[in-house]
Amino acid sequence: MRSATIHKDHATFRVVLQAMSHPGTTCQLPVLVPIAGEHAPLIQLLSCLMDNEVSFSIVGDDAGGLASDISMHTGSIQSNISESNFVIATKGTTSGQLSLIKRGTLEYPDGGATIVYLVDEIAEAEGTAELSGPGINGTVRPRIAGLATSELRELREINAEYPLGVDSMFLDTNGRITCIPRSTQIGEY
Amino acid sequence: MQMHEWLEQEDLLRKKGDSIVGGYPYGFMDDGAKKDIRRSILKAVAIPGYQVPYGSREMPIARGWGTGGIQITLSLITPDDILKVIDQGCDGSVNAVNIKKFIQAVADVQITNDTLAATVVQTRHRIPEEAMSAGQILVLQVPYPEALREVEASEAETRRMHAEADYSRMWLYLYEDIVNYGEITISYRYPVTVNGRYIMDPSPIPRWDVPKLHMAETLFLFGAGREKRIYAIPPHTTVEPLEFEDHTFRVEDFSGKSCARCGATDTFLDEVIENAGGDRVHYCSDSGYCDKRSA
Repeated sequence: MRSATIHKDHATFRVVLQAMSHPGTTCQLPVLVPIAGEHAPLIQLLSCLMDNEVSFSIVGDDAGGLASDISMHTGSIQSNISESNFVIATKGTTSGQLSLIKRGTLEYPDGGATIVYLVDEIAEAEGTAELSGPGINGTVRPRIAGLATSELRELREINAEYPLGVDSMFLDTNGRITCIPRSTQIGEY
Repeated sequence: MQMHEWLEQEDLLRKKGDSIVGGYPYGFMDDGAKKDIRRSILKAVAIPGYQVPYGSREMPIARGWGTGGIQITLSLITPDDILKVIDQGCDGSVNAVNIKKFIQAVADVQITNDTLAATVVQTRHRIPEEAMSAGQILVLQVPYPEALREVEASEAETRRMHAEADYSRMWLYLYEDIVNYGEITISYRYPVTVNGRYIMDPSPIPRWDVPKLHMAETLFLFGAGREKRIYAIPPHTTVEPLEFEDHTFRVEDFSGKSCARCGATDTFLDEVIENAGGDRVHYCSDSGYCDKRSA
């Protein structure tokens, strides 16, 4: 009998892809192979995307050796924030460092980093900011509890020079994910 | 080794062991390749219409035969998926059949000819007639990802043009077409503007299929294996064919013609010369839809 481990990354990526192509909607990461530890959903998410070709950095406290956990599971190397392909914000905030993060160049906007915010809880409605743009049928208003109040405003600023920008994922403690790529317009709030 | 020999050998290995294909990981490609492709797909979705460069891998078929589409499909497929593969609308052409066999062998998926039953559809040069829904993904095989290549041979220069949204030469090309022929003569690979920003090559789909990309429910992923580019159109994204106020975009005209098999008058039709006498008849290009209507 085949074990689910051989295609767990595929199932996880499908959920991430669904979330990225439908910004603001909430998707549940599949529970396939339990990874021990507090950051299990994060490790599961990063495992389908990261390897030794990309680097990451952590903003917030590196609780329980998170950096070494990520390196062990993905082979990715920790780097400073201005060079990282992935930035993990463990406390739902980049603590004012958003402007340091890579936004790509006009020739290669895909060089912009991906930020993964760890937050408390995500829900599809009653959020503060209204989102619109590609992937969104009209508007959505996700509620992201545990995200710093000013963070979406700062994201809007940093993504103002589209196609330069960063793409954000928000992951809650129950393994639910929602995304705000740079193409999404963040409304006033 | 011939493709069918390889598939038979893999089938034997599969029956013996617990791996899907002996000696290969699930989905054929190694993890590093799949992760690279996944990262590129996510960036492509985040920047609709922008061509993301990626490290295209060797596949067991030649480049130019759908390797870009196969690599995308293999990096996101799961055993729960139901896969449909079409080539010019046809489920039964050699290329489509072999791609299906290969992906089934390495990813253990179910195969269907029914567009609505499929979760992932890989296609060459057509978009199915039946409207696809939000949970489905359409993977398009792309031979020439650069829409501006007709007007500029240099990759460095087309990259600059995209960076600066400098599309004047493309518009001039269309204008000259009108001056010479009285209309825009591009029949397939009709350039489109995605999300108001990038001019994009929608792959060699006929004009008929171009409006299906606009504000669709479905995610479209484009893979060019030989040219090493991935790009995407997320759902609910504006996709506008290039046109002038006085020369608007129009699709192929099949008025007065119908499918000789199912009688459809609202599908994209292939013209077929039926016999030595040169009689011309028309058939639906989308064979799965035609089968469904004929059943």
